[in-house]
Formats: sequence, structure tokens, C-alpha cells
Amino acid sequence: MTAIPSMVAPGTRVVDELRRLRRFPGVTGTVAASVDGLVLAAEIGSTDPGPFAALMASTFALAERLATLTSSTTIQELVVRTDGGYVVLNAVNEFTVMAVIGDLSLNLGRIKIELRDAIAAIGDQP
Amino acid sequence: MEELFRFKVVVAGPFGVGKTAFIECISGVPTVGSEVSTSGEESRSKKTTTVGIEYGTFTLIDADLKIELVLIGTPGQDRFSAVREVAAIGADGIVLLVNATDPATWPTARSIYQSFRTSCDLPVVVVANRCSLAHLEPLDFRPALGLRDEVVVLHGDVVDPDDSRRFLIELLSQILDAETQNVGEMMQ
Repeated sequence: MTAIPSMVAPGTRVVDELRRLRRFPGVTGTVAASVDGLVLAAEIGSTDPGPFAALMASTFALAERLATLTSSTTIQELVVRTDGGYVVLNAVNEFTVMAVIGDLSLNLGRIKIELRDAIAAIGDQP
Repeated sequence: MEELFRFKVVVAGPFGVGKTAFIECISGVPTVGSEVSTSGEESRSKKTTTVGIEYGTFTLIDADLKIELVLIGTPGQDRFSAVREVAAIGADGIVLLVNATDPATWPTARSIYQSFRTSCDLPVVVVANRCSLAHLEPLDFRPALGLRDEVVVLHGDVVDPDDSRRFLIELLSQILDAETQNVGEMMQ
């Protein structure tokens, strides 16, 4: 089990949901970050979650600005598909972004449903 | 129709030094930003921070010549070094902002300066910002940053449009010198 370099205490909702999502087939890591790019919690093996959390915030913010150049909307989800798998980014609330990292065996439709439930469970907690 | 020359300028510097303010002050078009709310320790110094890139432009028109500087702002914290690397792709010059009154921010300024210098050796203008704060004497950060002797340090304040314009014109003249030199080398 990877140590959670957290600003969020174990046992909080975010950590519970990251662990739950981590157990789905094809999921290789989960990270929660603040919208300004700090690690809140991570289950990402030996990868350093620090730079990952920073780029989660950068990528998400840029994607949101890209979308809002054409219409006034709020970003909900961003899926990065590579030749090796996926990074699925979701807005959790106004403070938090969540990432699910998966290999090509990941069932994207299923994980989106699970993410929706996770986001509802976490609610407005920072 | 005038001839258009376009150069890409990266605006860099530590957290809270005034990069967003600089681009908003000088840009000829509405800027596109990527600011979000700060959290934790950083929320004590300011409410929002840039996490992606910002976009603005600065245009000079002289008779049948038009020069456009595309300004790309970057985040200041160490954790966003990857964003700075991406922003620097294809850049023609760098404006490095330094808070001349706060030595605590100089190690980050040094690492930003040194990493740009290593990855892409471009014309750079170093701006000693916040020089208009009357009660604080601007300090000499040149040794702390390890600036090379030929690097120009300009003093001023990025919220003053005349100062910001002066910084960009100095950088532009360096960029044009470098271009001329490159053309000269190609001709030989």
C-alpha cells in the first residue's frame, strides 16, 4: 500500500472513494488534487503524485478555458486516451479534481458511472 | 497591408511576482487566463493563481511593418515546471519577473532562470518588479540568481503601462539582434 502524502486524512470520503475506484479492473491509479495542483490523496504506486497533481490542475484548467472560448459552460470531464490506456479527469467540486488512470482493459463506460457515484458521495467536501 | 512579424515571448517568474498583472496591463487583446483559487499555505498570500498558461499580445506598428509579440504567461510554483517547459517550445524570448524586495522568492527565480538557460538559450530580460513600493529599497538579486554579466536587468513596475512597454521593447531589440546574428551566420 502506497503511503498517502495527504492533506486529507485517511478515512475521509475522498480517500475512501479513491480506494474504491482503484479496485476496478483496468484501473492502475487514482489521484485527487486541489484545483491549484496540490496532492490531496493518491493511490498511484511508485509514481510521484506531486507533478501528476500539478499537471492534472493545469490540464483541467486549460481544457475548461478552451471550452469556454466557444460557450459558457462548466467542465465536467476530460478523457485522455493514449496508446497505452486512459487518464480520466473529473471535476469533483469547486476545490477538487479527480483522476482515474487505467490501461486499455479499462471499461470506460463503467468507470464513468462509478465516477459519477464517487463524485456524488464526496459532495462539497474540500 | 503591412508585413507582419510575430515573436513568442514567455513570461516567467516566481509565485505572486506579477506575471498575470503584467500581461493584463500590456495586452492589446483581452487576455485568456487559467487562474484558479489557491489552497493551503499559498491562499494566505493571494486568492488566485495561474495553473496553466495565459495568452496576451503586444503589437507595434510602424509604417508598413507590424510586429506582434505573443505573450505566454506561465505558473510560478516549482510544481509547474512541466508547464513552463511546454510553454517554452518555439519561444523567441523570455521576460523573467523578479520581486526585487523579497529575497525569499529568489531561489525559485534562480531555478526558473537556470532551467530556461539550460533548455533554450534565448534572449532574456530580467525585470526587477515592485520598484515603485516607496518604503522598500530594491535589492540586488543578480548574484543570487547567477545572472550572466550580459543579462539586462530593468527596474520598474508591471502595473505601469510605460514600464511594461519599456520591458518588451528591450526584449524585442534583443530578439531582433539575435535574429540578425542568425541570418549573418547563415549567409557566411
